[in-house]
Amino acid sequence: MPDMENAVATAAGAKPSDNDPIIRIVDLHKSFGDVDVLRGISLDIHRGEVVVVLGPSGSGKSTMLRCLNRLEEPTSGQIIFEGEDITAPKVNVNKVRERMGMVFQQFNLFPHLDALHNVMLAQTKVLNRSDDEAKRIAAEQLARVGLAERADYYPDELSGGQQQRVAIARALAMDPHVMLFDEATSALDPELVRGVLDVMRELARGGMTMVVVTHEMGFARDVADRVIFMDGGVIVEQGTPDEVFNHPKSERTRAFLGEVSLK
Amino acid sequence: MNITRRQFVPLAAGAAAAMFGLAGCGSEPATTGSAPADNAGSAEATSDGELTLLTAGTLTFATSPDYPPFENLVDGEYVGLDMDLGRAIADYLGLECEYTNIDFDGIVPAIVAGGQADAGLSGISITPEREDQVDFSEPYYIDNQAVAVMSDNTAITEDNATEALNSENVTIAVQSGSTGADHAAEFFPNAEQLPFPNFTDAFAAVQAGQADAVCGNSAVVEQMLAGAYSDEHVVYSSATGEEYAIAVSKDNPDLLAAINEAIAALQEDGTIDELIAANMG
Amino acid sequence: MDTPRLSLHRLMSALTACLLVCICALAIATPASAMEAVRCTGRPNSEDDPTVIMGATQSRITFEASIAEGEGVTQLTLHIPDGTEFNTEDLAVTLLTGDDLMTRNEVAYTETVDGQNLTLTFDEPIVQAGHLNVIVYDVYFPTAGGDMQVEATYSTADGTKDAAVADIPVIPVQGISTTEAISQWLEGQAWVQAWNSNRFLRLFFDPTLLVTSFPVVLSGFFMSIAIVAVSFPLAIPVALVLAFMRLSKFPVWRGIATVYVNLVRGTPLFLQIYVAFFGLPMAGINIPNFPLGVIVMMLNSSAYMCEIFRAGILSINKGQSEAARSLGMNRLQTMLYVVLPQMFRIVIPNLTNEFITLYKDTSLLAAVGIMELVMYARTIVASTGSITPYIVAAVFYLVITLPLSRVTRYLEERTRRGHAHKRKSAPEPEPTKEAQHA
Repeated sequence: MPDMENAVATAAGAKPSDNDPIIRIVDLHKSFGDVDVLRGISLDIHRGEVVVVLGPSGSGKSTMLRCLNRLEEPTSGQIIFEGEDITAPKVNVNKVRERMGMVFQQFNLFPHLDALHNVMLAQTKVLNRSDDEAKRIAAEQLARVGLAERADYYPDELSGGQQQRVAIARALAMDPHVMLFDEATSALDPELVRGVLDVMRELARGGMTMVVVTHEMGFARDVADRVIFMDGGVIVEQGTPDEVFNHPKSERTRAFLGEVSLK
Repeated sequence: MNITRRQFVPLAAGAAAAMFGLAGCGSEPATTGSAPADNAGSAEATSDGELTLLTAGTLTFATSPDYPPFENLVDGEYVGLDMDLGRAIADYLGLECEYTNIDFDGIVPAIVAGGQADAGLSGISITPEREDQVDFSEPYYIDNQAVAVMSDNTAITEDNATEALNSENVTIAVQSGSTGADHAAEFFPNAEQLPFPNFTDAFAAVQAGQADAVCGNSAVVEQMLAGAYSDEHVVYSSATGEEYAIAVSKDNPDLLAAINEAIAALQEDGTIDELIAANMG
Repeated sequence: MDTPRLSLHRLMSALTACLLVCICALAIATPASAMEAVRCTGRPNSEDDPTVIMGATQSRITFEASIAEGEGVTQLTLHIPDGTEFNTEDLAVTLLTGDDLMTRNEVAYTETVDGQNLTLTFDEPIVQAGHLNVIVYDVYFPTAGGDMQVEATYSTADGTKDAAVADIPVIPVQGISTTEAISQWLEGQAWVQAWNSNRFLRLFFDPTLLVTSFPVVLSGFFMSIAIVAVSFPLAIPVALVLAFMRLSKFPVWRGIATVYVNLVRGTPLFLQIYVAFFGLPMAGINIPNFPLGVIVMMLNSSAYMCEIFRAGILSINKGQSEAARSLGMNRLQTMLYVVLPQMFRIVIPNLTNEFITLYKDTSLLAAVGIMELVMYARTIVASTGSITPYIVAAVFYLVITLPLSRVTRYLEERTRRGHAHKRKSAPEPEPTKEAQHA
């Protein structure tokens, strides 16, 4: 697995096969006004792979993640998702997003709906599932994140950790091919982080392709197939957790890891 | 015309002096306002004490300036027979004259309640109902009722007006609280009545097709038709002989007496006839 | 009965003198037609309905009869219907002459009253052709009402005695209404008289007027309610469309909506009402009063609501729509199922306030002849000189606005509590690092 990143062989647009990366990012740039946040990112992510993205604040890691499902519009570059260039003008971005689940730092549950209906809403409106089917799947997913008992709770009656698990269930109910986690535990009290990480760990074990932006070094060490270190809008270093954590090649990586471990 | 309170003080002194017959001896009003000096001497006979007024030295009339040729606003100035008359009366009494704009149907209540005006001067006909609420001066003008419709109205004509107007399909615009409203209610009870606070709006309503006819005092109807509403014409008139007079609070008999005195004098010296001639031309 | 006679007169003046002579000769030959009833009316005196004449309430009788030329009427006796009280103090007797009957002539007379008979004896026999107009004031018809028939007889100089004036129309009088009856009963009570002897109490809280104006103002209340009940719900979708336009990416839509909202919010509603009621018809657009009133109120309110909705939509965390979009929902779905339901919760207190404002603003429609709350109260104030009907009107406004204000306050408090609750159960430390866009 670790050396798979060198297997950049297939040209974009060719017939997708299981060996092709599920996501291929080619020279991705993103600027906000004069500020260049992403300055040429190229990256392949393979099926079943768990990629953890590390980096200091402002390194562009969240922006990169948000470009993957086009919550941010890339300024230039290509993103090929399951063989389709999703940066092309006439792509139906809603269809792309159906296959890409995303979990946010602030959970973003719908406050006017209880947990069950949070998980049901997009199923019925986007996938046109019947109410019964959506409800069954929602219950399954809530059980999967350990919240079967909380189905009729409203978000403001749930703890932050519970809310984030509902948010994960909500994304999973859409049967995504990739899950994107944008600092999913950053907004949580320390004692609540664990429950969420456990769910993510379980997900990884089940073979879900995951791109995780996080500050949880422990999670990165244990779960990541590959760790990416970003700084200044570029990928500075990548490799297995062992390579990046124990034998960092770049000075900046070393400095970052040193800082983090001091905390 | 309007003067501020501060400007007023010396003027009031002047006016008071005038009332005591001292004006002739050269008391000089300190302001540039239209100081009442000329006729002041004659007021001596009427009032030998201060009149009870809203603002000392100023006679404040409530008026609804939507009633040419009696009261009307032209370029922000109050013009018309009533307005000239009010100024002449105030002048005669050695007072400043001020007008305050109140919708017609609010004038009698305002005089009853007090605090807004000393007297109502707004083409107010004497009626027994109003006499229950306020005192009236001697009348200064006699008017009738008239009904006007659009000139191209073929359903209501001069020949059939009395019957045609008294129909359920007819809407008659009137001024709220006016004798025109009473007249329409009494003689055209089947018609629907559409009251407007502002009489000019009643004419506009006929123009706009919201009402078929407008009922009100003849002099005003004719004036309106001679002006902005020339495409309406009179189809009915009734010699009601209503007498216009000035409404004064029942609590202020001195003011009533003073106003009556002034009207009598202005009647005597031909001023009122002159004003009527000047305004009804 | 009036018109044929009138037009006859016009004909006379227009046609030949010969015809005139013939008709006069005919009139003299048949004494019964020498004096003919033209009108006989009572003055409406009901506050409920401006055309209704009620019993036991002050009214007046206007009697008018035509007199042929040279008739020489010396005496007229009016028989006022039995049970009707009247007073001759303010009696007005006028002879209207001229082609258009617009010339008023004073008539010298002496009156005598004998029971219900009011006899006018003229100093000089009336020989001029014209209409004799008699107004009897201070008339109180019987409480029970009914068709009142005034009878009249006249005598002439040539010896006709007590000839009857034929075809006098009856005066339809209605029984006194319940509220009028209560009001009149109150008027007789000592405590009411004591109460009303205080000027302030009489002007603002006259018990007799409280009673009589209540049912009248009530009908205005229904009108005001009807106007808001229709215009308010209609304003909501219009305001939503405006809000979407204002939030749109397309400058043209944004521009149109912005201009509209600023125009409406920047000018007084009073002005808008005038423009709609007098301007539109002149432009050839004729809409009946009530729907037009509703439309103006709706259009005005929608501009204010647009801003409420826009602020509400903007106040919804961007994360909400991002979450919805990340699940594959399109813009419309996101708006319908995620943003709007939350927005409506937030704006309910503001919407309630807007409802209250709109309800109060219906009073402005009084200026254009819509018979709403204030206009009804106004008509009674004008005829009584007491402010009491306005107080009654104020009560009708408060009946709606006070409870609604309470509801608003409750909703606002609930919203505040809701937020507090959320923060307590899910404490959110400062969002970590990664300054979003820098």
